[in-house]
Amino acid sequence: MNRRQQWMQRIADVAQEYLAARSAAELLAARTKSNPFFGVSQGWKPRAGAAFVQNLEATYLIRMFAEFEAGLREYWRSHLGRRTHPNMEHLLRNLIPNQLFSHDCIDAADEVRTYRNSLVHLGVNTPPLPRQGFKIHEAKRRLCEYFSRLDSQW
Amino acid sequence: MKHFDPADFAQDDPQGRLAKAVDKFRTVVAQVPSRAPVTKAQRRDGEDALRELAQVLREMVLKEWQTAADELINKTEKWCTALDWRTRRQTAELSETLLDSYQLPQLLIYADEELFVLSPIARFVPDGMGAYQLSIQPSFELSSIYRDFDGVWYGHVDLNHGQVHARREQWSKHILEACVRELKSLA
Repeated sequence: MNRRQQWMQRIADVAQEYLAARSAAELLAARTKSNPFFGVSQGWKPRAGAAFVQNLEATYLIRMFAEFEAGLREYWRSHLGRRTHPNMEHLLRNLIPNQLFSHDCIDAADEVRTYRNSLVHLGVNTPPLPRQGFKIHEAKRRLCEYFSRLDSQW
Repeated sequence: MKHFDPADFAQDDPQGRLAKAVDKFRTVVAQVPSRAPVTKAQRRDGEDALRELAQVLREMVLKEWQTAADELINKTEKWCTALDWRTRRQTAELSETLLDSYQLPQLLIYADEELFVLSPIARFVPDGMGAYQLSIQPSFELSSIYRDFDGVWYGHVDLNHGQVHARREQWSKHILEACVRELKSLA
């Protein structure tokens, strides 16, 4: 397995973790339904349980993008031998892609980045959400497709 | 001749249709005052004009891209025959935002007891006017074949240093052979 595949696997692993967390959230919901004080007995308020469920997909999307960014920066540094630290938008849109990338593939990954930014910065300067949001598997598909266009010799 | 109407032929003239679509869009835009909100009717007219413009452009770009892709496949197929490599054409389905769904030819090449596929990537790629990839099956190894802004197709060799450091050469029988040889050694 080359580095490119390893990073794609890491992105896919986050999607798997999300599925496990979603199952855990369903079990937690059942538990708190039968025992409304379950959370309190564990040291957390009921509001935290609701937030956990509500933010689950966004949390994993942010984590997934963190893997994507780490992988891309490693590619930039170790495979391309660059010492600079460009911003992610410039890296993703301009510095990495060559003719093996379609513009649609670049745009698709960049939309995940924009959406991730809107989640991370929500409440600070509240940029408008670029779209309704991404399901975690759609984000995985887009980010892995981008990674699949990186040099296989990496 | 008495039924001749130039307007009938103008429909088939892409440049004429493009000029008309641009004029229509300009006319709509000119009607919008700079210090007043756009009315519903202006918005609708603007969207219609823009859609028409996009449609004409789509037809022009797609026709030109399909012709270029056909030329690449025809040439490559001819070289393969000369090299005594068996080939088979297939149709690849593509979808791009600006072109919607469309079809392009792809070529299966059976060379030196290995299967290679010359398949399209997209018309809209960075620093080019369309790209194909030549890959060896089953493997991740590939070489990009792309069309530069001068309309000439280029391939990449010296792949053992990675695609990033590969050397760009004009697509030819010689470069096709080199790509096949290198991909085989990498797989």
